[in-house]
Amino acid sequence: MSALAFSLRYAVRSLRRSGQRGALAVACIAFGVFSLVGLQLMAASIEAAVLLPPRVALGGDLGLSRDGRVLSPADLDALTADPDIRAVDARADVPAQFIQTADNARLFIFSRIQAVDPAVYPLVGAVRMRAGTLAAALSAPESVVLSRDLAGALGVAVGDRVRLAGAPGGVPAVLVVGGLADMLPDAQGGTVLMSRQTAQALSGADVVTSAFVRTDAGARVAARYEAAGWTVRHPTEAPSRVQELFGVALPAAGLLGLLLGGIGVANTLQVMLTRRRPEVAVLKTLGYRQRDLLALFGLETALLGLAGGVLGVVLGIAGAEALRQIMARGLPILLDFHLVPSVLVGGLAAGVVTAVLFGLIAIVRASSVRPGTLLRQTPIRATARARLVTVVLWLALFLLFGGLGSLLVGSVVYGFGVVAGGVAGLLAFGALLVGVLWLAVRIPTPGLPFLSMAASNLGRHPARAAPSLVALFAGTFAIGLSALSILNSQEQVTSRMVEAGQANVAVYGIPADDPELVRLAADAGASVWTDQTAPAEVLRPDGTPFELVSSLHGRGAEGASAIAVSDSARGDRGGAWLADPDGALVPRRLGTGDHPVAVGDSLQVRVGETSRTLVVDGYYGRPDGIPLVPTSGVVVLPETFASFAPEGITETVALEVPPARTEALVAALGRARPGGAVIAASAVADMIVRVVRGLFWLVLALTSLALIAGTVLIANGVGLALVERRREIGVLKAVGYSAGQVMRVLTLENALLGGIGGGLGVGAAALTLVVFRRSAEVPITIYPGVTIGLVGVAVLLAAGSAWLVAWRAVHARPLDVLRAD
Amino acid sequence: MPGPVISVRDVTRALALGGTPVPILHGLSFTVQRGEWVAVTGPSGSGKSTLLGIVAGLDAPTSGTVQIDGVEVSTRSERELARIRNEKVGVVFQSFNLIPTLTAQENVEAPLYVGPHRREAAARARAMLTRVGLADRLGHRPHQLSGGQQQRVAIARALVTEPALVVADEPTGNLDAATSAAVLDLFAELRRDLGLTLLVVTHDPDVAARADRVIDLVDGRIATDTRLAA
Repeated sequence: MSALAFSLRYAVRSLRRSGQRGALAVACIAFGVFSLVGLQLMAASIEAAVLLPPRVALGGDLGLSRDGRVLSPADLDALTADPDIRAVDARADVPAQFIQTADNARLFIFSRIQAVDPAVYPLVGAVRMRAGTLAAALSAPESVVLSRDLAGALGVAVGDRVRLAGAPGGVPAVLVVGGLADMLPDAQGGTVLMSRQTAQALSGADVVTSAFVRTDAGARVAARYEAAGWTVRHPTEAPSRVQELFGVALPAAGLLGLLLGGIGVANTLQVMLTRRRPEVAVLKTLGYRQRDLLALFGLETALLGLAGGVLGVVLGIAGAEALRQIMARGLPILLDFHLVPSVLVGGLAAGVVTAVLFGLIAIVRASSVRPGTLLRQTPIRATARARLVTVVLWLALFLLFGGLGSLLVGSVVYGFGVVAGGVAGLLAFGALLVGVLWLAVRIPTPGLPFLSMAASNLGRHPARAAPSLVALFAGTFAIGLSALSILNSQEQVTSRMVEAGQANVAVYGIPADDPELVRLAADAGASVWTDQTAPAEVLRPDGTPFELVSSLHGRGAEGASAIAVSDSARGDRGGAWLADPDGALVPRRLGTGDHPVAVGDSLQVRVGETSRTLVVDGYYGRPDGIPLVPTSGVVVLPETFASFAPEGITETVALEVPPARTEALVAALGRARPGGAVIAASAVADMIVRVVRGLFWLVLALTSLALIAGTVLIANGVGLALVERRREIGVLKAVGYSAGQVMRVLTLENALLGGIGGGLGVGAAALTLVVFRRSAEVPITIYPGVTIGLVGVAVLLAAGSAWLVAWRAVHARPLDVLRAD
Repeated sequence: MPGPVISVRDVTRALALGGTPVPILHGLSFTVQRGEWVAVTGPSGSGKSTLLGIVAGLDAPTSGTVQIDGVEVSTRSERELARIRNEKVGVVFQSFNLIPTLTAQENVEAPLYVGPHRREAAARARAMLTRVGLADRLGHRPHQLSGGQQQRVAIARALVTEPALVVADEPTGNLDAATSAAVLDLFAELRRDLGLTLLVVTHDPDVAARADRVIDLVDGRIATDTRLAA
């Protein structure tokens, strides 16, 4: 057997025998590599979706439009005939506001609906269909292709029916899902694609608003079309801030994870090797030099790093995929899973090197002193050489992490900055938390002898608790902050969407006098009103147009609850609605500013060819809550609205339904009138809450890592303390303490750590939220169940890990412990 | 090499206990000739194990000089001492101190891999274990061996590098009477066959009685240095 084979066998057997401690070290490395690999793969997925090649992001070499106006057939013919243009992808926008399932149960608002010619779309990039081709999926009339994430959010599959609704003047359209796109050229997650023929059948015209072209003479073509009055869009790079966010932030977070894992490894190996001091002494007695020992233990830690690294890589791949799925619910982009070999190999190598370097740091001191010192089990005073080697190893670690950081973020300054900043921050913050611990353990606890003993034990070496405290604090702070802010946001969304006294169901495509609607509304005890909206031009008395006021609403007094009506000239109107057919209500913001509109002023309103002068009768503002039927223009009585004989009216029937009966009414109306679109405020709230929850789980998944790291560090801390305190434990048991009583002290010590770290973390999270929300003037709730529960989790994790680690050692017979010493 | 295997001159050793240096050894001087078996006896705290540690190169004296096989060890660096420990000294502990993860043969091979005989490590280890009567226990781990067998493995490990000196700290302290006698017989046999020089620290008068010479320590000083009749 060669020396290498001997060392390898020695290392493997030692690792096998290391049991719980070895598993912890592997877990630490796995945690670090998992963070690094998982977040890098995630960053790669996001980068691939966000940082698209400029041509792919645009959709061609140039994008051509005419300021939002419809491109005429002549325009399109001209483009097709242009000798400099090789291909034209003409697209029509379908102005629907939302897509919902046929049974009205699920809704998606932030969708982008495009009508394309599947024969040419896309000019650059590709559509990756779940099955078949885009052309085949769109070939049937009334068929649409949904992006993977949109189909997931709606819970629909190929063959299911969906409804597009909310288009001005448009009747809701029920369409069939003809296919699913797993990836689109621009990676937009909420995309609905349909053929231009289907769009034409829906709206009655081929409303092409933009064309993307492929050309080899981009500059010349752009110049020509710009000169002809076209708006030309060029391929542009993604903003650098986006690049920084995804290209720098995620890998940097992964690097800090590896650093945290590395600290865990150092901590664990310190415990493992402290327990093996007699073994080191024997090896030294047999003539092993420092370099032999470093090689022997370096090999052992390399194997440890390899095991942890492989586990971390596997977990990283699984974690990245899990994160991708979570992010698919919260982000409007399609993320593809990208397995980057260099990330996997790099992560594994980083794990091994980190383990070796931290392992060597743990062994270098013990390997430098004479065996007699180790055999006596007295504190080791490092030799000058050991100190030098330690400094060199730390320097190597800094270079490793700084180098890794530089590679990851593409900047030496950023890379080393993240590492230096991370280490400095951890040190400073650790010192602060240790200060709090130092104070806390000095609080007298008369009548509680076990607690007092636990506090006294913690007070002996408070600095040793720093890594555990930092990790517990970071974990509970991040989880607490995200949980509290998301719960608050969720509550506000839910309460605002279902605000009492407001329309909580909106109906499109079913007239207000529809007998089924009338009957079902009456059965449910709902009040019904109608909002009619038409595009309008609104002019001041001097003829200048009001910007951002471009619609006319016709609404009866029943719809007063949807807006907060007031009259600054005559005080509170007491809810009084318009009475004069020439009167109009205007948005409250028009009553302020440089040229305020006063009550009694005249306005010129033009809808289509009809123009009419109206008198401002009052103002309206946003009521409490989120209005289901948005109001943003000039409001007049229904008969006034009708006098304009408008075209392209959007008619919304609003219902104020007792909340308990909403679900039944929506379902019944959907069944009775499948052609109409029925939206419940609760469905909108549900959609927003689903997105918010997706983000919550994402944040929770990321921040839980810190809490796990804290638990590992505590387990190590307890293990180290047990090695040092074997004799003390033996003496306590020899003088009559039971194993349970000793366990109580040890568990209390760590429960105190959990309480302090967790309490401070959750407290800081609540304080941050209070300060932030107060500045934003938003009410907040500090959910006692969540905050106390989170502190409880931290206490349980800390106490539980200590209990598990200490159990065996504490239950040894005192004589065995004392004899071993 | 001619001359004494151990030469100790004016050796003192103080340990810092609670920050205060506490003298353990007070100016000890003695020599041990090649092939001699010397027992070091004395009450607890007399400095026996400290002396053994210094002679074996496991610890350094506070002052004075120690030569092993003509090589001054008290001023050597830790790296040089490692080589001396490997080539010139074999150590046997009371609690055997075998490496629990390694088999008997691997425990005996361990010192050979950092010395000049690494190429024939396995053959030498096998031969030495056969020599101490453990040919049928080569692949056993320490926990699979009795106390006496473990001490035999430890002795084989101490001898496998063919050191000039073997030091043993209470080698029979953890063994019953019959096993102790067997281990002492083994020491005697190996000494006779291999010409070993032995320095054995012991409380046990029976162990001391097997030696050629007994150095009795009291409070860190040599109280008596007695040559026993053959």
